[in-house]
Amino acid sequence: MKRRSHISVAVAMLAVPTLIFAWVAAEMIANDIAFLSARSAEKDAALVESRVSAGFAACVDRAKHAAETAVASVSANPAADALAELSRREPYVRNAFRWVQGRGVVYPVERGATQEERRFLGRYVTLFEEGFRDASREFTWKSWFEGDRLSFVGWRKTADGSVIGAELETVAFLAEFPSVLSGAAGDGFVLEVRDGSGGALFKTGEVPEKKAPDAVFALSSVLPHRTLAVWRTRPLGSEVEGLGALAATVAVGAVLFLLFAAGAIMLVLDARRERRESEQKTSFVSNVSHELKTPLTSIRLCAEMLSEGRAKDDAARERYLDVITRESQRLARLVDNVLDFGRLEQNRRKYDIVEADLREVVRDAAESQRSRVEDAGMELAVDVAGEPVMRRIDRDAVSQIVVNLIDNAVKYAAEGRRIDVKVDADGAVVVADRGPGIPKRDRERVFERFYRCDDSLAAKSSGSGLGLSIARRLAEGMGGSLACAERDGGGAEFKLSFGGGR
Amino acid sequence: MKNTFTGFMLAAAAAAMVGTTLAGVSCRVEPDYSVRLADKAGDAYVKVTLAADKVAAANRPSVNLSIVLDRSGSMHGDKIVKAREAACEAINRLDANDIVSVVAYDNRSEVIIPAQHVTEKEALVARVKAIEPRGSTALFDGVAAGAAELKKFKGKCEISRVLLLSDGQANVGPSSAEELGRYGALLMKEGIAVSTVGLGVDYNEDLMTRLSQKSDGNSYFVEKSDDLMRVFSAELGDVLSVAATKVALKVSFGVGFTPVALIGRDGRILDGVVSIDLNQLYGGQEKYVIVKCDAAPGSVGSAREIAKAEVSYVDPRDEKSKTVTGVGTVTYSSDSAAVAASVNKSVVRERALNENAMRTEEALKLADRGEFKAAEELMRRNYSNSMEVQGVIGRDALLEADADMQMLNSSNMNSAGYSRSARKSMRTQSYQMMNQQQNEKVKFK
Repeated sequence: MKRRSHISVAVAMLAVPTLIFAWVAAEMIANDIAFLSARSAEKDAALVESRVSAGFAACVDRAKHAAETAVASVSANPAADALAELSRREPYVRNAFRWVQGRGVVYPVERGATQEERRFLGRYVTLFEEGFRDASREFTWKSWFEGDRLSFVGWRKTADGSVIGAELETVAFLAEFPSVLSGAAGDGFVLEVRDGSGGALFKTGEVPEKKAPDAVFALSSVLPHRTLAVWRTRPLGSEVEGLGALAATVAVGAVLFLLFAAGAIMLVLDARRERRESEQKTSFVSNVSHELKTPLTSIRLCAEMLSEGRAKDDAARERYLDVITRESQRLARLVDNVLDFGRLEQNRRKYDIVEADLREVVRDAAESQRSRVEDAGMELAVDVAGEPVMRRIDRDAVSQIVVNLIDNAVKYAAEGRRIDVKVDADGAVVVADRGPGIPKRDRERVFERFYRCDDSLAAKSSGSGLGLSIARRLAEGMGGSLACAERDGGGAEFKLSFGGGR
Repeated sequence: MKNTFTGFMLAAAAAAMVGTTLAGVSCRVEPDYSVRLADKAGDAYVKVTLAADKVAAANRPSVNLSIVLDRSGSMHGDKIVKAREAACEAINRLDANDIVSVVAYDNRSEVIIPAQHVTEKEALVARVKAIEPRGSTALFDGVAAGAAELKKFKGKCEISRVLLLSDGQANVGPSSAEELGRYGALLMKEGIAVSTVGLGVDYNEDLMTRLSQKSDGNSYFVEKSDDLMRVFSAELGDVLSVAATKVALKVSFGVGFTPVALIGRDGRILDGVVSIDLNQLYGGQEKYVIVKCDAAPGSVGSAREIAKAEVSYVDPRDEKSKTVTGVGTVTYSSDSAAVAASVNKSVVRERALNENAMRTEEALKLADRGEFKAAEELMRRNYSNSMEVQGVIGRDALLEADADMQMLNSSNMNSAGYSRSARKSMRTQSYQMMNQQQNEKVKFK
């Protein structure tokens, strides 16, 4: 259960940032591309707009020039017919007029000779009322609005002081706009010229649905109140942007690949650890069975001897009973350890932290093991003399740690013949032996559950692989720490420290 | 020719009208009454008629035709199929001396066939058949592109014509009747006439008729796409039979007569001279203008020249500028019976029909504004006008038909105004009347 949730957490820890990163990266790329494309779209659109403006201006200028030429061709004091002829023959002249200071409009004749002239006089009534005081020999053009309809009217002063002018035929240059637009749009753009109310006047293609134009320009220099909307369908400078987008995509791809590779490696490692743990568990089960079986066999044997009356004398009987007692204690320790381990694994161990004399607790625990140590042919040196060392500890936990450490030394360092137990000046509990010591690479791993470092050594001695793991967990559970080091002059040294002091 | 000549002889004999015929185009000047009541001022109506002889097919001028097709989404189905067929038929009727171009428009115009001589008909037809409908209706753009194609061969052909087909409202580009009318006027100055074919009941008849009117083209209303082929054919018949181009008519008036208005046609009245420009005259066709004059009193027994017309035109067959003239005279009498007897029935009839057409236009305007009562009133006046005029000139088949039509038109008005179909018929009829269009007139069902 615990393992599995670890994996889930690991996978989640891997997947969530990967996904977040991928999302952020994709978002950044999209933004990047959108930004680049918007910037280049604006640039391209501006280029297109300048073409359109120039093209339109050229159309309008051509029309104005043609009208100016036509007006200039009539004499200063033309007959009405000559002016009528201008609008009759000149494609760019919609209406011609002549205005004389003091008399007002003298052509078109009063009320106009045609319907069109009547409308013309109505359209420009304010212009004619205002007069042409500023008129010069140079042609002056003015844009004129009737509702939303745009027209241009221009005039010049003639030799006799009268003013002759013309109204431009707006549709003449409007008819030239579609080809200007198509030329400017090419294949990469859709253009739309809009009137004052946003209606489409001209467009070069199907306007992209639900897409705002990349840019909107006022065409006021050429056509007041008209705007040009530009959509880009294909960028002009595609290579540069393409490279940027490609680089960004490759970067994100690489990062994602690395993330997944890292994830895969972690999964493989996790699987390997899992396998190792399951192997360790198997060996744990066989160890524990062995550990249980050995004392049980001894106890059964002794008990049978006693019950069958095969003990020859009291001394022998005493010895049998002693074995039964010792092996029972060993069984009890083992069962305690297994139970403790279970509790620790499930975080159910409760600590009863009280202020206590560390020296006293250590002495009691060590002394309880003296006979066992000595039975194993070892010497137990306990150095706890001096002032009491008061610490906030769980007495049982400290006691169990000391027992486990001594038990560990008895099991694996019997050849060292001596176990030193002391509480040092810093208030740390030290259990040291003169055994083979623990190789540097294993010094942390000995605290892992089920871990037994050297197979040859482990084969010689029995053990569950739980003692040190339990000891460290207990130490950490109290807020302390348990570490292993090399002892000067050979052997192993375990040190239980309580960081906080008093 | 013979008819015209006979007419001329009769007129000369009556001393009421003098006409000359020359090289295919003739001009007649006819007052409504050739005898006027003496010592009495009043209105006089003068009809000036231009007539062109039929053109022999072998002798026809070359044509520069641009077919401009609406390919907007609404043309989907049978409409585009029939339009393509009609366009192909038009191409088939042209020959290597002619120029054709085809433009299709939706959001924008696309030149399907750039202006070229009609040599490889099959290839051209194949391109027309590939036109599929899509998008919206950039009518102005389409006509402009068609006109641009025509201008590529400017001066190479005697007759330039845009044939515009639309089934919808122009919704892209300049799209008011006024703007399209201006464009028509502009094209007229460049010698291009635009004939418009409105298909179905959704197109904008005001815009289409104005475009034709200002450029002196024909106008058609085709309710069912099956009729497209016939209309294209009729139009092409006109185009191929053009007998005069760049027609300019100037009418000056005799002492005591002052022109005040033109009936049906728009023209210039300046310094007592009426001038009218026409893009072309078709062979076998008569076009006329009716001028309303203020007439000063005259003394018994005297004769006066009422008007003198001068027509200048270009004969497309030899590309020479030519001129014909016509003069009309009146005499004065105190005998009102003689006055009544001198009535020129055709002048009075055409005047009535044109007045009716003008009133129909007015009625449509009123109906558009929601003034249905006033509109209906005008249509009834049309009816009674046609009936009353028959009281003056006697029973007349044309006026009777007109009276029937006016009755039908006024009954076609419902609470929401005229139906779209009726409105299109009325608009096109009045245009065809005022323009004296001779082919494929709208017949009211």
